[in-house]
Amino acid sequence: MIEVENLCRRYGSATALDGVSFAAQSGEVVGLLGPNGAGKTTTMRILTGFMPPTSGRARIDGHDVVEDSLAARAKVGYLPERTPLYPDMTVEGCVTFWAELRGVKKPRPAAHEALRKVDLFGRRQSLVRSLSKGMRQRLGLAQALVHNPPVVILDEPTIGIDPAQVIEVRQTVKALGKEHTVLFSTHILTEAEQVCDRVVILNLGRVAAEGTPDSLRKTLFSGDRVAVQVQGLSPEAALKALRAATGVAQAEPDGVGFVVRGKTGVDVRPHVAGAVQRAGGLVIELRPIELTLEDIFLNLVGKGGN
Amino acid sequence: MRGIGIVFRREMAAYFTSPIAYLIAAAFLLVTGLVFNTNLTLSVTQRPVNPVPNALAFFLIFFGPVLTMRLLAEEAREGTLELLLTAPINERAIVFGKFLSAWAYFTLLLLLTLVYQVILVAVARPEVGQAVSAYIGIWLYGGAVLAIGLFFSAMTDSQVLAAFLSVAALTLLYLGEQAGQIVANLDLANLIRTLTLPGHYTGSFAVGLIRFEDFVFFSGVIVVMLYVALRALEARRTGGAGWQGRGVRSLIGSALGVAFLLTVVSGVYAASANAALTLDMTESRQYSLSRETLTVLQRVKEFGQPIRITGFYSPNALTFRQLDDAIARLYEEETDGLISREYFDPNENRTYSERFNLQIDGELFVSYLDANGEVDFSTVRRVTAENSQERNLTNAILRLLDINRFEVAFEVGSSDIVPDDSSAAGYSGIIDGLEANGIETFGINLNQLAIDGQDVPNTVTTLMLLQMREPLSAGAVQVLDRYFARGGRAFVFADADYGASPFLSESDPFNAYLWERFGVRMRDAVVIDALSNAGTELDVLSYAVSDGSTITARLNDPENPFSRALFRVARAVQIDPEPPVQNGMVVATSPESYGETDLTLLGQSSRYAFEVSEDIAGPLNLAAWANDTRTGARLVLVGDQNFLSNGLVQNPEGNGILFTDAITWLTGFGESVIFAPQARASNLPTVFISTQDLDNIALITTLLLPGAVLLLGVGIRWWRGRR
Ligand SMILES: Nc1ncnc2c1ncn2[C@@H]1O[C@H](COP(=O)(O)OP(=O)(O)OP(=O)(O)O)[C@@H](O)[C@H]1O
Ligand SMILES: [Mg+2]
Repeated sequence: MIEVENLCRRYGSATALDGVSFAAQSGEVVGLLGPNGAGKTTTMRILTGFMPPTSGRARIDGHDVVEDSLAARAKVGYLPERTPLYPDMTVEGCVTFWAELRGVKKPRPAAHEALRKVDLFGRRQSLVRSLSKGMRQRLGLAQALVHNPPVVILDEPTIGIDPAQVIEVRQTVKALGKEHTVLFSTHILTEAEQVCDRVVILNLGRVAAEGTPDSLRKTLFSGDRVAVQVQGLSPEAALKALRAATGVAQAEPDGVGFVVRGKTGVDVRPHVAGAVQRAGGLVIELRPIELTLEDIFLNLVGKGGN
Repeated sequence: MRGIGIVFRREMAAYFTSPIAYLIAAAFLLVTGLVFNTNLTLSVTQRPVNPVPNALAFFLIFFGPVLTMRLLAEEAREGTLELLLTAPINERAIVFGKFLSAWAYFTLLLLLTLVYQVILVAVARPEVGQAVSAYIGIWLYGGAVLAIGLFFSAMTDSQVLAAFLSVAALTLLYLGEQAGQIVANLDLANLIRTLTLPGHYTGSFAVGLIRFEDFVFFSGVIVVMLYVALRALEARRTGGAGWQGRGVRSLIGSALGVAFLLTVVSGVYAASANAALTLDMTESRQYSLSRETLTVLQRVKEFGQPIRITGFYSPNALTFRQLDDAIARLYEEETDGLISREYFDPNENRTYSERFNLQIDGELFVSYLDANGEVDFSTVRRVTAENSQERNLTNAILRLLDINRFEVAFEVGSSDIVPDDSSAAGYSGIIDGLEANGIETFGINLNQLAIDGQDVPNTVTTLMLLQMREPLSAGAVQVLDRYFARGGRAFVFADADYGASPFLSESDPFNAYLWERFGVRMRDAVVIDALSNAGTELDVLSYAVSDGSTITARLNDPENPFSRALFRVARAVQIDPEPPVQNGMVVATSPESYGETDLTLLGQSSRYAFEVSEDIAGPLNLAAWANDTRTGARLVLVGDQNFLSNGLVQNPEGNGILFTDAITWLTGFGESVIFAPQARASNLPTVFISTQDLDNIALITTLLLPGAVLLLGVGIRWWRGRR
């Protein structure tokens, strides 16, 4: 559905994108992750046909976004970063307008349906200027969905709305994945983990990593990590014992306890417990640490930063 | 194109729901209403000339940008442009849709101002055709203004900047029409003028002349500006790509595109300017060739001698040049170039203009061309400078064709006053008038001709016997007799003369000759009229004029009190009721008049009294005509000559009319072309309305109408804000 090949984009002498490639299959929710200035918005603007890339290609449903721009654009629903709307139109008028512009046969019913989806049907007669930030965000979403596009591109759709609504929007996005291919960008990693089938991590205009949240964990990091707290041993003695345990690759103090990383494929927990006992200590906590994207991300960004 | 309609509709809805748009409409109506009312008040004494569209040519400098500034700049600032540009529609649809909406809104505003036209039709006699032409013109003009505004709105994110740049550009384009005041070079000034917006309005649409080339110009401006607006919008996509790759390519592409469009537009413009397709919307068909002119041009073609129209216009007078040329080029076309035209800047061609004796900027001359294709200066005829140029140009060409056809000889031999004396008592006025009409004048001495045994030259078409103090010699009468025998024509003036043997006294043999030959003669009686006079009974005003004579058709017009002829101490003319040739009365006195025969008393003490036994009872004839259809000889005999003196010939007008129409009849000049009398509509007051009505109209148009629009805007704002 979305194919991106070696995309480059320069603003003057500054390079915003430097050889980005990824793909999204039909029915997939793909998260575009990255710190400020990573190139997420730029990527999306190229995909939606707003601006052409300096080099490289991008296709939506097989249509090149530059050569066959109109066809590609017809397949996309887009919510830009700033959620631009016409403040002097009514909610209904606004969505109907975008429906017409995107060639919907019966624009008004389509607009009503989209408004129901984002729970704004009751406010359809209001002026856009009278909506709250969160409502506008949802209106933006309605506008992106009104023509039922195969591809939905959302640039940070959860920014600036309250937690309850964030959850709603996340659920909406996740639900979209059933019928649409969704590409959405975010800074919030938990969000990506919750919502995405796949994550593309951008940093400084390059793809730093790509995959399902799980596979990213697997391929990037070998070995589980375990948090250990020990009683009855000096920290030095405890550390020594832990490092000597079978299958342990690394052990470091971490606050009141220690973090131990096992060698690949080895569950180090029995060995850690045994080694501490043997040294005369008592394990009071032995907890596996779930790897989050946060870790992966910080790791990657850290690497890129170096 | 898909999307135009959708964009158009959204913009229209934005205009109709935005309070700002209502504010603009109210301001628009207020300004045009003020202009209309000022003009209406003036129109009580002057003919109204499309005040509203003409004022808009200026006010659009401000109204245009206000209407267009938000169109694209606001979308860019708000970010909605990102959505528009990623919708599956062409940029062209966006640009056209936005442009058309602004134009449609402007059209609506313009239609609102038709209220003024309706009021005008109700209270006055406006030139409807001219108004239609002005409205079409300002509508196109507005289109061009809006296209320019849209371009600047596409260039920037800031509405204020877009408005500022548009106003600046439009001001330049407006003032450019006056380029002649700073640019000394005529061609350059003209080129600059051609590139301005008013240059295609003030001299054509505004005066009721629709020229195809102006359509091409305004459409061209719209096309080019929309194209650059489109490229500016597209450039937003590449935005920030800078001087590399795509950015440079698109810049070069735009430049080539603009160059191509400009070439096409100027080509079409040049072709259309050449083709000179025009539509004359004026009531008096001011910019079309009349039947009379076509007759004259037919003669030009038959004669075959090339004629040159030479005009002198400084860069300041370019609008006049355009107006005159709109007519002059029709002459060139009609005669397939036999009549050609050439224009000069009098400042740069001073010596050349002096050879024409140029007197004012913007004067036209006609002349024959010599064998080398140069102006033959001996044939130069001046075109009277007035509004109705066709009439004057045709008259001038006619005078050119009639060179040497009409010669008026003045018998002046025995006079103690030279005829071309320019004092109040002299006659230079009529001589200048004749010459201005292409009639040659010269002096002649009949007594001398008789002595030399010669005849009146064959070229003479009319002989004027003016200021005669003595009777003609017997030989001179014979000379005249031969002259009449071959169809000669004479304009003879007698006057009260108290000398021993005055000209045409009852005992003068020439008086007897006239009686015998034409059945008219002078009486030794001075006309006293108690009823029809101008102050004293000796200053006699024409009381009756002959019916059906071309000489008197314009005299004693009941609507014009100045159209009567005034004679000062005139003698009576006697007409034979059983004449040898056709003859008749020209001007007669009232029944309350009589002829005083006691000239001695009158001459010495200016006293007179009616004596039944001696004096002649009125009414009396003051002038008579005779026409010998057998030989073609014609005679007009008048019992006064002072009425032609410089002091009286235009005062009252009737004197000049009598002279002109008599000479026209005598020479036959009038038979070659006759213009139907044309009302000088432009000088007539045309508004018939009370001060009370004026006040009411002012109230409605400057207060109620804009106020209603403003209220509507407030109402809509409130109604929409409720939800
Ligand atoms: N119009 C522009 N002109 C010049 N540089 C730009 C422009 N837009 C973006 N950039 C630069 O390109 C780089 C990528 O920007 P982009 O907006 O794609 O980042 P982002 O990942 O969306 O960041 P954020 O999370 O802050 O939205 C940044 O360094 C930015 O400064
Ligand atoms: Mg961004």
